[in-house]
Amino acid sequence: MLKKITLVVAFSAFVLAIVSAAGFDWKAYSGTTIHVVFDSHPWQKFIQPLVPQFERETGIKVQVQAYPEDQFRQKLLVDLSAGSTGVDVFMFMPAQDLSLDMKNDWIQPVDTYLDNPSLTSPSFDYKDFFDGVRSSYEMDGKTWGVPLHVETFFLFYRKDLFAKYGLKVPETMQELQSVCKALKDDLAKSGQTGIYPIVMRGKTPDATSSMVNFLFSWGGTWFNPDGSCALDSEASQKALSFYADLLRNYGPPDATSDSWQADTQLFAQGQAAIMYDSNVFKAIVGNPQSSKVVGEVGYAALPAGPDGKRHPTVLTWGLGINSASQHKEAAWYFVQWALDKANQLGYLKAGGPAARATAWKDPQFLKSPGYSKTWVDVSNLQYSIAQGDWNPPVVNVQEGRNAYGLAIVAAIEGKDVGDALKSASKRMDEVVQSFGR
Amino acid sequence: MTAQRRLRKSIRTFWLYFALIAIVAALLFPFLWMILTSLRNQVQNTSAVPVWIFSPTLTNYRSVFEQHHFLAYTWHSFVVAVLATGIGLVIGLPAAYTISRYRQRGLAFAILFARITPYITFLVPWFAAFRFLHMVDTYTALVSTFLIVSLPLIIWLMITFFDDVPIDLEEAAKVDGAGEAEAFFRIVIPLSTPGIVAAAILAFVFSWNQFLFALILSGSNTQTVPVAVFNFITYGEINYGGLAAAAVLITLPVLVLALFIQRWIVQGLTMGAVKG
Repeated sequence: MLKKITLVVAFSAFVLAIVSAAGFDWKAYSGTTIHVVFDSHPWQKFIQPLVPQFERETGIKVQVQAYPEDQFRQKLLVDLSAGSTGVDVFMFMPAQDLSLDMKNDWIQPVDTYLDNPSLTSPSFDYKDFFDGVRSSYEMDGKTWGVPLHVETFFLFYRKDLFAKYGLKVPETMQELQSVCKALKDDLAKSGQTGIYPIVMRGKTPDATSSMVNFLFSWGGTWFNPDGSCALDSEASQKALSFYADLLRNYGPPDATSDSWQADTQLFAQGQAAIMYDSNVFKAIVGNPQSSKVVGEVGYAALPAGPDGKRHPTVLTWGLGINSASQHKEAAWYFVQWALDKANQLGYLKAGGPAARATAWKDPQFLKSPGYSKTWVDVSNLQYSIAQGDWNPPVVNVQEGRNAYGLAIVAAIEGKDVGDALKSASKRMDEVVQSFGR
Repeated sequence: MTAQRRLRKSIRTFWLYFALIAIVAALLFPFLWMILTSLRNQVQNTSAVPVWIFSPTLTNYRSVFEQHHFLAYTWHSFVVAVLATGIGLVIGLPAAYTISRYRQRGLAFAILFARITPYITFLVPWFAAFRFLHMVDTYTALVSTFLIVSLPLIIWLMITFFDDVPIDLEEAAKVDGAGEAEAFFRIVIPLSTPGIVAAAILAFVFSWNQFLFALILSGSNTQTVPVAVFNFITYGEINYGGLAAAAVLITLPVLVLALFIQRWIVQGLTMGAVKG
């Protein structure tokens, strides 16, 4: 009797082991071909050469296409709006694309895959992605993709100039202003007129992404609880006045035509003491191939607003699956392989801000060449407290960005901030009315 | 007196050459800049003060060939441009001739409309149609859309050329027993060679440079060179050197083609082909 029970137990344990082992099989979709569309992006550069490895492991064939951002969006828009089945996986930015993709039913929720142990590898560990970043992909109670990259705006500064003039790294917005003023005086006194105290974005619509952190720092929001645009609020006016004054008084003269291209170029050429832009630009200003100031770059968190707290945002790119795809499972296999722990660690080691928390703590990364402790600490600090709505939460994001961007330009040009924001607000309400939120 | 005149003449010659050199220099400067940019590294290319003296590097050219399937893209472009030009000529020449001889001006303007309408208007329906026919990323799809670019160009250039061929010549041929087609092939075509060559080159160049159709309708099997150039503009970085190196390499075939056949272009553009 006892023998019989033991036998039954042993047998069921054996069956269970087979079932759970057979639960997930990388070869399950062998022979399928999937099409992937990427933005020309550091992550794409990292992952594309590794794709043959995925093809060997799974037997799934992958056709990759990559285009620069404008062309990438054009191409994807035509494909998706024609209901094309020719794209299975694509890159997207939730705050930029998700509302539109969801409204048109172009994107497939991935919860059913995540919850299905026969479709998701036990080692995938979705919860490993930063909390604040995951939330950007969750909307209407569903998960719409998996993050691959996460960036945030902070300060880059010239350690040599700060040391030379005895300046302290600014912790608050007020200090940022006084440091810029001191820099302007000191640089003028020592005859270094070719160096601007600060560079940041002044061009529409790109400046929106950098201005928004100031908006939140002063307690502003995109919308009022009643659904009307809140950009004409007092907080928003104060924030924009501060940003515009800072750039007008201490930035380059043609700031309203400058975006990250000009910012990074000026800073990398040694023509700016502070740069306020995305942390990914360490790849430019910290790289001897493109920068003259490599050894002198310091990193500091977004200064605290009048309430004493920092209010950074995070921008994230992720992978989504086309809802018209005929190979959704194979597409999901690609997504989980491309964003598994090893590949996220590899991306981080290659200099890209990966979205998995464990990658940032990996000893391999801590020992990798080019590792900068302050860059990592400041980035991580901001990822842990950031919010995801760096873009106006509307369906027609481009129009919304432009509405705000025009007000930013007007303010930098010295026009009335109140008037500029009133018309931005009005335009935003119209955008919501015509296209929805 | 004569000495004075000679002086005046040489002054005039001096100014003429001066103006010529100034104009040519202005026209060539972008090319010179492109070549210089392709030989400099990123720090030099992003410098606020233009860097004139530097030790040239071929890294950018190496990256064009190593990082991207540049030769394959060039081949795709070549196939598509040759086919679009060839088919454009086969259809366009008789069409232009008919329009010219039978005064079909309404038809001519209808064709011009295809050229004036923004290309993006055709694009979504074409894409949907080709998708339905499973023809996206095929030469057939690319060539047939590129005909929208080449065909009106060829027809409109050739109408004026055919207008210039004296009708007397054809009538003489017909008196000698040639039919309509024979007169066209044996008399009109040979007389219009300069025009045909000019039209062919322009059609080739326009097809070679066509970006929008190629972006949407090509895929990994047919991606053309203008689309590939944009690989040097990436998220968060513009590789000016690589971009310029690719631009130089793309311009080369067209430049060589133009140099070889420029005699006909000049002749074609001045249109002194037939003395009436």
